[in-house]
Amino acid sequence: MRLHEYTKATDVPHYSCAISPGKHCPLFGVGVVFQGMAGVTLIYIGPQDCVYYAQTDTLLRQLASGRTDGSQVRTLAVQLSDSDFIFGIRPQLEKLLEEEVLRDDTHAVFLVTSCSVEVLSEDLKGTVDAVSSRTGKRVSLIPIENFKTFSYFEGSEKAMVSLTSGLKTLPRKSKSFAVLGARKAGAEKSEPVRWLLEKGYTLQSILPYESNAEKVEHLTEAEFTLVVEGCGLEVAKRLEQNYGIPYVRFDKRLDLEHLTQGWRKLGKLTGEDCEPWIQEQLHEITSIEAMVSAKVSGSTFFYNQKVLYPFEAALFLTKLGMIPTCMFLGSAMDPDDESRDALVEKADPILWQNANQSTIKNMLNTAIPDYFVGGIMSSIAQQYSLMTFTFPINRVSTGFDFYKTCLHQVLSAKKWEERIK
Amino acid sequence: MKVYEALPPASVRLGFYRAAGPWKDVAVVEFGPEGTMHYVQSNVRGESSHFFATGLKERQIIFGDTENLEKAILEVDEQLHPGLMIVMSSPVSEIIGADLRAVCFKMQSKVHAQLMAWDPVPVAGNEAQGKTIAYEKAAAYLKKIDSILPAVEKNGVLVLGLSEVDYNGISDLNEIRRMLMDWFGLKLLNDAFGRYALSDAKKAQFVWVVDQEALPLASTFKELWGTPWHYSVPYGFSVCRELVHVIEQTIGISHQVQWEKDIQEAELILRQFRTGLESRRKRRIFLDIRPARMKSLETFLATELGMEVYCPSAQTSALSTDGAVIKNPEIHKDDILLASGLLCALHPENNAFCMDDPVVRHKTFSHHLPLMGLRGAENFLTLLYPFLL
Repeated sequence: MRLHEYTKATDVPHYSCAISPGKHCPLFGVGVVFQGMAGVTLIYIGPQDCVYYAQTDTLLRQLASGRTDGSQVRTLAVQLSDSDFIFGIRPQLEKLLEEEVLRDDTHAVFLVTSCSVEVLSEDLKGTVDAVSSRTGKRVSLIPIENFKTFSYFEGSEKAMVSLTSGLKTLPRKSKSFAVLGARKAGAEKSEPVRWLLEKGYTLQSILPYESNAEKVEHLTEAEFTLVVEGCGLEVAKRLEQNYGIPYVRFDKRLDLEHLTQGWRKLGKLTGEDCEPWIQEQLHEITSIEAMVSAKVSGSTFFYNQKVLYPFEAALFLTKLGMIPTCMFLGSAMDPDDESRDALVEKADPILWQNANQSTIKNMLNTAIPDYFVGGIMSSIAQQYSLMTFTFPINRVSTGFDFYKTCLHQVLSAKKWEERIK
Repeated sequence: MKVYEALPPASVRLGFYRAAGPWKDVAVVEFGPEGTMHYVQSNVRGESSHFFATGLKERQIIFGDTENLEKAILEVDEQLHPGLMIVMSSPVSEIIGADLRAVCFKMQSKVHAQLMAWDPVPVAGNEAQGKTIAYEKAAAYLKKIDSILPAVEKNGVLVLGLSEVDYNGISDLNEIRRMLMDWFGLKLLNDAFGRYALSDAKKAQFVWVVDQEALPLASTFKELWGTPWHYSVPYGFSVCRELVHVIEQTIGISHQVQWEKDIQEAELILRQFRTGLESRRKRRIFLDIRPARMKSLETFLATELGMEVYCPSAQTSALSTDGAVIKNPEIHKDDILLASGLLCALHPENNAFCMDDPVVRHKTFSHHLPLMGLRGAENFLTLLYPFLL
């Protein structure tokens, strides 16, 4: 498929029908969002494989982030048998949900289904609603269908939306804000957050990484929100629509125009005059871009980065004079058509879903680009004498800082053998 | 429905993948969504690039379309040239009733590999069941191709059920390699990671089965080629003695002098440990590892070392419930944990040593710190002693 033939992400073909290893399941995306959510019970329900992997992964993630002190979500794995699939599970499930939601320290229960449960179409929404109305407490359903999704990001997005739906309107706290979409530690160090903290603003919460059930319930106290990654965008839109809380987008990290707009909006919301600083940043960026363009203009590239918006990243490189000839689409996908529409005016690369190394090799055998962006085995990079670089994948970095770092990455691209020297 | 608070048991499917991990001439194609395959590959340690999913999508579910699976079979056959290709169902393909046997029948004439369907995969079960099925399929494959396998000279020992897939497997295998060479001058047929081609098993003059689920395959070797086999999980000193005796009896070669030196040294170390232990406070060992290995390690710890060992059953045998939560087994604060990485990590207050399914902090770097075999038994004493102080 060429870029001009693109209709939607799930229609982009795989190079092979035999996929190995494949992308993460959206159940993984749900676990990522909920990992630190103390006061919440997360119940995975499905066949043994799905609940084993989802549960184990969530527990391992908690351990990796040092959360074994009660500051973590309580998870349960509900393993279904043949007879459960045939005869249904409503009575037992209602009992379990009720017991869980009535536990002393539980604010809410989220039931997460897997593909098989969804294919069977058992009315779990009815079960969840019944328990919720009987107990007066929050019980929600997060339906997960791996076979319908492009990547695990959709699991994260659904989980974020579910987590923040039905919040009460609370009085605004002056000079407070929340960060949306940060799935890793360190969002407080990102450029716009740092700036707000320096200006005396209070960080209400970082959702999902450093939040919990109680903080989520107080989310509507924030004056505004900052979106640092795509999975927080839908929540930001809903908070604005339902509670009048404005949001500023910093998730379009390689789109200079949007970044600039984001800073201007932030200046407006805070009443601070950011313009001189913005101009200073743009001036510096223009001079770095000139250096990068002089090096890379006219060069072709393959793109294989997983977590940045792919069309936005390709457009960023195209504006520097580079030409995309092949793109492997990973986990993240641009949330709108803007970058893709602009890109297709300039280039028409071949698109594949989620490449493994043998796919990359097969594509390199058809045409060798000058540059390879993103993950590639060193032996392959060496064999085809490719210039390689990778954009930073710390998903909480954003702002002009991040943009400049990416420009420097392009500037410092090297062939593998030069890298070793 | 069964509800688990922390650690659900690993599935039949994962057991199958773990058994098939070391097979060089086997590929597996699962007719399922790609997310499950990603999880599988994260949970099968070591080589897993011979496992594939078709990335089942909505339109295949609605229309029952198996064209993608057929193309995947052709691709894997062309790229990997496996001798055996196992075509496996997924929970979703089972619900839509895809007939994988019919697909294999249709595709067999178009590929070089022997196709075998595993459909349906049990919805519930345990890892051991999956391993048994994998070994049974391997046995059936060898029976099918035996008539075309060339005659070979038997020379060396093949180990079944121990490889890089197992936690610390490479270290344990290296100790077995050393024992066989130093004590008998026998070479190990498994490669450095424990991998082997099923079709090369004919070269073995002796088969050592470390995982009891591999017994159907060992029996097939005996049936087809008369290859003698012995099953033992080599934890402790007495198992090593037994092994020396078995090899002498079955292959008819005597041990070399290195065995006597090694066992004398080991006996001295064991005496020192026991003497040290008498003056120390005794603490219970909470042993929770896969059932096939539990008995051997329990015997070593309880009988040879004289320690109190507690083996819970909740981990390995899921209780039937009607929605009641299956709790984790109760662990006392003074217990020494020898268990899965996750259980060890969930109890940081206990002295613990990971014996299976490690978490990140349990990554091993050395390939020469065995827990099996004679040196493994000595290492165990070193490992346990500070916990007893």
